Amino acid sequence: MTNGLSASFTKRYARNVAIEAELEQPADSFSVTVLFGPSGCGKTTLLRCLAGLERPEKGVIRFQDETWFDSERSTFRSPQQRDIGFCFQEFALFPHLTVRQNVGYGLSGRKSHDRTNTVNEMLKRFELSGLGERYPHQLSGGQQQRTAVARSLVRKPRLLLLDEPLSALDTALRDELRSTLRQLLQQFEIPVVLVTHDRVEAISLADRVVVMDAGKVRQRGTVDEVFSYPADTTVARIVGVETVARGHIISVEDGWATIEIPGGRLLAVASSIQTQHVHVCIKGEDVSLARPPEQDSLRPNQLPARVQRIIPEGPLVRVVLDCGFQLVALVTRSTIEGLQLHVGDAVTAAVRTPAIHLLPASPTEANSPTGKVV
Amino acid sequence: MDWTAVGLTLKLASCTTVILFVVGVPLAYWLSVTRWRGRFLVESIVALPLVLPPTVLGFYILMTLGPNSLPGQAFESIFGRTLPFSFAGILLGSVLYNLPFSVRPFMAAFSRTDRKLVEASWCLGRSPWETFWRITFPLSRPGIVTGMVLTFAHSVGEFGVVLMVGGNIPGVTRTLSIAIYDDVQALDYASAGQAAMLLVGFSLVILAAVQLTTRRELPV
Repeated sequence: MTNGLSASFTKRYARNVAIEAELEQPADSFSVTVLFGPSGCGKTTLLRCLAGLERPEKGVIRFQDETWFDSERSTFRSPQQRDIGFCFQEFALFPHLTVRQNVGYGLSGRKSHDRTNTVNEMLKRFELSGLGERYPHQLSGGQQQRTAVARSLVRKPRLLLLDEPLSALDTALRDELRSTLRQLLQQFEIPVVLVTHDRVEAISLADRVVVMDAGKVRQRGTVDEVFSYPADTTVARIVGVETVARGHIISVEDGWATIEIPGGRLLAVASSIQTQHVHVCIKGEDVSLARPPEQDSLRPNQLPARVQRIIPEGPLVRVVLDCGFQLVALVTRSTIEGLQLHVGDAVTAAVRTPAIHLLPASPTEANSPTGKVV
Repeated sequence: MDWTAVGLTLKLASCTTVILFVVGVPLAYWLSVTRWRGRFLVESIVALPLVLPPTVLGFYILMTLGPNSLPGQAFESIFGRTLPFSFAGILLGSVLYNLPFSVRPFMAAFSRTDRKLVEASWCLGRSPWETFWRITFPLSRPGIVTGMVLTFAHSVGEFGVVLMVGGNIPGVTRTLSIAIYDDVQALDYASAGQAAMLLVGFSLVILAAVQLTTRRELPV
């Protein structure tokens, strides 16, 4: 018996697409597992299977010493029997009930005195104290979200499931709540499984990340493992590594690999790479730009490049470069202004050496396009 | 004015509405949630009175429940009287004929309820029964009120089925619309006009009330 949540099941959720889920989550203390992947990858369906709102075709879901689902023995526990908290993407607050009634909804069968106290305590913790008599449509987005989380935690469930908890909010509020949400959840010593497609949300909320694509779990690990060392190119693309280029290793010396890429050579930590052909993963923020030096004296990991496109993204600017392959740099607005960069200009792109991440590639794809922008 | 007929009409309409609430709510809820393939057949049967002439329905009620039929004989042996030409008979006809006017609005209201709210209630430990009474039913109230008012108003004006099944027995089956028909046959236009005016006024008031309440009950 595990002392946490363990799930391994398949569930059809779209035409011909099946989820194959593998999950492990300790259950005795607070920890957040984030199911991360692009929209439509089946992560919400997976969460609904854990809640008992969907029934998988095959497999087993166990929590502590209970079996929630077992296709071989036709065991299926309803959501009511699982003792969980579930937060919907659009909050799903009951529109005809006040905040107080919404939060207290899960407390059936308790004395009204006891119930009032519990609800008051929750309202206080979630900074909803003055809003108890309001209806959901009279609340701001952030207040609605807090009400929804408070409602799902009021019964002290053994597992909390959150479906895109911040996606229904506007950007400014999302930034603010991202940091407070984890602190709020931390007070309750229960495991949390959270679904998101937002990379920043995953990084700032997760202890463990499960990356999903097209119904399949592609990688599991800590935030660092997944985001800095994606297991394959699909994961790299999903977690938002901007450049994935093909190359091959010329030599390995003292743990440093020299890689030949279409525009020149790169130096990278060789780590455990066994294959000759590799995918070179470079995050946009690890590329810096400078005017080309007068003489031809490029240091390692500096590449001559030409500016193809300049795309402003809020405080940052995404610069698409051609240096034999397509390289994407994420730089600040002032860098662009300081360099007076324009499309067509020649620049030198410097890649931070420790930040170059190599993934094994099969030689058969050798003729595929050399660079990809995601 | 034939006040006996007015009283009988109101009695018939009230009984029809109550019965259709009790029968219609579960039937409509079942239709709104079931994934059974034969669902469309039940829906068609419920909608049938919308297109069927009342006389056809009345004819079949007479055939199946008349003293020569098996169900009719069973009814007679239990209650000691026959179903046709009795209040129970016209009530049965009225219930069947008004089925779509209650079940369809109920069903529309139930299917409009956000599925997520129901699921949220389940995840908070509430049984499907509790969830229905605390979430689905209160949120469907405008549609249920509309259905009941339509049923009441429609059974007040029912003519064909009542005439076929009940005939024209004062105080038993002679409703207001039968009385109007009877008055016209007897060339008593004054009496027919009064009753007709009453029905027009009543229907207008009911429909206006429905419009007002449904508009007010919509979420802001």
